[in-house]
Amino acid sequence: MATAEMLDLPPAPVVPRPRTLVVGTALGCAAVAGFFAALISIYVGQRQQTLGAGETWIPSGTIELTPGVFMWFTSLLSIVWMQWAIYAIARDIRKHAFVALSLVAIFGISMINQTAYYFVDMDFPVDTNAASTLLYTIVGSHMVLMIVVVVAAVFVGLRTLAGNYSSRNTDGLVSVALIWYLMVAIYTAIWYIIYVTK
Amino acid sequence: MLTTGFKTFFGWALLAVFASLVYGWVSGGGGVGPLSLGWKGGVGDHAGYGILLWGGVIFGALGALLVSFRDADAEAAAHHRGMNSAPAGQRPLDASYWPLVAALGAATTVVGLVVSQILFVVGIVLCGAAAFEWATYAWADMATGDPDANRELRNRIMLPMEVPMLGFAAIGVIVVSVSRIFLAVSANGAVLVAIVVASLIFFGAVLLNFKPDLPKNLVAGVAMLGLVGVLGGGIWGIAAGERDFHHGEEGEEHSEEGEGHSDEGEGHSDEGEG
Amino acid sequence: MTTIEAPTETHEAISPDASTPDADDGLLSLLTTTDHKMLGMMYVRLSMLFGVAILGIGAVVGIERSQPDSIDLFGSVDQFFQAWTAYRVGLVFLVVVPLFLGLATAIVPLQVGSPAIAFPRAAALGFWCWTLGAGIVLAGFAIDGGVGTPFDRSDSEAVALTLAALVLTVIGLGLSTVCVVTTVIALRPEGMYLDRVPVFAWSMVIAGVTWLVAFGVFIGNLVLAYVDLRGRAPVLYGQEQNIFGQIQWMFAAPQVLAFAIPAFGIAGDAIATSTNQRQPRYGVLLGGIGALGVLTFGAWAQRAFQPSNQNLTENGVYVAQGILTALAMLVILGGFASAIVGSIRNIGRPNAWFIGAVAGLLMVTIAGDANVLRVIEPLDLIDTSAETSVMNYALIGALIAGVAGVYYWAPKFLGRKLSGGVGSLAMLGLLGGTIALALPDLISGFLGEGQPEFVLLGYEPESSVESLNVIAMIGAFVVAGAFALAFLDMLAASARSSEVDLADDPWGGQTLEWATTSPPPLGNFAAPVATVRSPQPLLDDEAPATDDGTEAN
Repeated sequence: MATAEMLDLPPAPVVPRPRTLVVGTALGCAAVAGFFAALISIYVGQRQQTLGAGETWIPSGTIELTPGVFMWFTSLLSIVWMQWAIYAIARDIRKHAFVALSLVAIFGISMINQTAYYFVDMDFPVDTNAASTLLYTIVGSHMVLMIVVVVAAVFVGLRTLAGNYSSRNTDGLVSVALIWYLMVAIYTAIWYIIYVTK
Repeated sequence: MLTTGFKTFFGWALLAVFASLVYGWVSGGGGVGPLSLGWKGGVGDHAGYGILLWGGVIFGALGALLVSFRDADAEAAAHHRGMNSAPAGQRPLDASYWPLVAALGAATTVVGLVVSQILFVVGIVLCGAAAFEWATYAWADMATGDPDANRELRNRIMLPMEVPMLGFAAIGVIVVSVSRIFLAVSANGAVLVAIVVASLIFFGAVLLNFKPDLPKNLVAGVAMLGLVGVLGGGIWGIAAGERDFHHGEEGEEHSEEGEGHSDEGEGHSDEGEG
Repeated sequence: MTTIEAPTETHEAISPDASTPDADDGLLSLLTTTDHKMLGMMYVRLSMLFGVAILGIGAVVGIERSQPDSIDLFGSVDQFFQAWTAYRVGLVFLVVVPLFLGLATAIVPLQVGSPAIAFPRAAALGFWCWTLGAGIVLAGFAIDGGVGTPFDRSDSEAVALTLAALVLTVIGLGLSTVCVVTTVIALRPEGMYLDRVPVFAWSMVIAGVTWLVAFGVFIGNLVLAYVDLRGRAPVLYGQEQNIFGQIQWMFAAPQVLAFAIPAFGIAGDAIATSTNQRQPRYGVLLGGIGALGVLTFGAWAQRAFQPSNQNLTENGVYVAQGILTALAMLVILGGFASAIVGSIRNIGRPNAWFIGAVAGLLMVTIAGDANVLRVIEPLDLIDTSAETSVMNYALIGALIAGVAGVYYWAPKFLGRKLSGGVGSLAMLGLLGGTIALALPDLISGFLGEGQPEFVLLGYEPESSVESLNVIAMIGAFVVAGAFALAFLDMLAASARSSEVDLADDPWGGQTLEWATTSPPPLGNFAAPVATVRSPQPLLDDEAPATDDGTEAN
């Protein structure tokens, strides 16, 4: 009886060719990196020219540094959890992978919250000068992308729990990790170039 | 051994980084500025220098990624999985209307960004719905090795959600559209529209009851045509605006229109109300 | 060993008659398809339709330019500028790039022996984002928008709409690019290492990576302008007279040459097929195309943001980039020339696609060479009509190669051959038209004709410039007419019933797309692809290849 029932089961899923999703994600990351490369490079160039002309770029006291430092450390810490997710799935510990991805998502939400706080706290309207326009464009774009990545992390976490990923197929988690590391790298650039050195 | 992908993209990276350094100097930089990212000494044109440098990093990262899994060669994939030959590549997938819905959502968002907040929200909702559906498809695709079983599994979970939601959406579209038509045409015209629409629905249902073998495509086509017609009428109704409601002193017409002004009990025009 | 062999344990064949909704050829299947061949066909058809319109706009701009000291056809300088920019934006994002991506979406999975494109749903999303975005971009230009105007007299909401829609369009193209490049990198069969992929597939990898990074930078420029433009008085980046200056790098060399890279790939495959020989020095050819990727990366040339005391175009890096690009193109051209000369007797009466491939190759190479003249500082050609000349040589040259690709691969994605006679006429028309369109602008550049500023500054041209502009206008009309002819030929072929006896390999091709039926079944190949042993797997049964890629005799 049990054998007959087993025969009725559909076949096991065909594991897709490894690396396909990772390659696609890496290419997407290249485009995202190009986007921020342009905006941050333009920011630095415009700042240099404005300061060189003896004008004000961002008025002192506009950006409080403490939240940014906390946020940066939060993002650095999230790398550890992301690596835990990869480590866990490579050993078929799905629950750990899910918990780790959930923690990463929570870190992401806290970063979004922190950015929203900055927007409220800065008292630096977007149409003040070139600096404000660039600042809101760069930080706002990062926040929007962060929302997308958090949603992606949650989806991948749920699929991990549902059994889509295992030690034989880690591509989904590796891809999310790739995007996450890029987001952390971009945030590091934003933190240092915009928040610290203004 | 270095792979073709690595050699190509790492070569690009070296060239881009070298060009950024040279550009940093010749565009007005000084000292070791370009070498130290502008830390010590200056960089001339920061925008050009920065993009070239980032470009080099991006290309280098791609090269490193490719060499880390041997250019994703089929043999490397087989080795990774411990198989004798390459694992299956991408299989053709079923047709799906969600890519179109997602693109429509994105386009609506774009138009809404500029034109109207409501459109923007509609676009975001469409994108969200498409993303959710997409995720369930992606999950179901890998549930078993049988595409038919996967499809059935997805439908069993999603249809109980999709059908009522689409039903509510369709009813909402019809109610809002028909009400806009009623408000736009004359009072007698509204009665006529109501009779025509109700008759069409009634006789359509009767026909379906007595002729259950009608081709599905024909029924779906006629239903879609009707929906588009009602939607078009609704859009026309919104564009045309409401007709003038001239209220008599008795307030009879006033209360019939249900515009919420019955407490005033005096004649006035509602022109311009949205 | 044959190219197609029996199924193995892991690489399943997909039944040709497998039933999916795509099997129906109705409107619903067009709207919902995830089949790469159908998506590619829709991309090609729509980009060619847009091409007829955009080249028509170019011809109208040509009429206006024929009398450079006054505005006659357009109501104002601003309106002329809108049409002038619409031609550039349209030619890149609505015609050339999508035409190449359409061909690649349809053909590249076949070339690398894959049953499908990577991420089929994302490929469909890319196509629809592009389609809807392109429609809104055109609407934005039509309702007095576009990418800004010199005197700030356009509708700022329409400008914002155009910018936002352009972002959507580019995202769509980017998605399609990711799918194509991933297919080449990650879905190859055994034995097909990256240095053995067909030339067109390789050129799409190289072009695709360059495009993706440039697209990211471009979207950055657009978003910055949009944020500044919306809802308040723009500070700097969203001011209408500044917008086009910030994105101009996308429509000028070196970046504009990156859009022509797939032309080398199409030429490579077409020439090898026509000469019926293995391409000699295959590695050098791939290396040359690979070098073009980084050499045409022009996103860094942000002239709008350079310090006021610097001139980017007089910079050594900018000049070296132009010279090295031309050298790489000449190396590739030399390789193709040696292949043609060595097998001239095999060619016989040239096919339309061979004529187009060679013509496109020549025009793109001339674009690279003209760019060298442009960047040599003493000649002082920057910001003259030489810019337009280089752009037209590159983009129309790429377009010719793209049309040649349509004729070459039509059996695979249309299931029909296109008319050879009409095709040859169209290719020759495009070739002649491109020369007549672009060469006069190069000469006018030497005579000091500026870019659109010639109207804005009350420029009084020499009479010879006026004559040259008339020739350029005629060239624009010839290009538009010849392109429309090719488009109509494709539509006529699509309307014919499919050819029942169309051979799998009607031209004697060498790569895997010719190892399956025309058109291919669902899943592309009736049986899994066998281990590949050379870049020309279809020739391997006839004569095995040696290590350097040539035939062992």
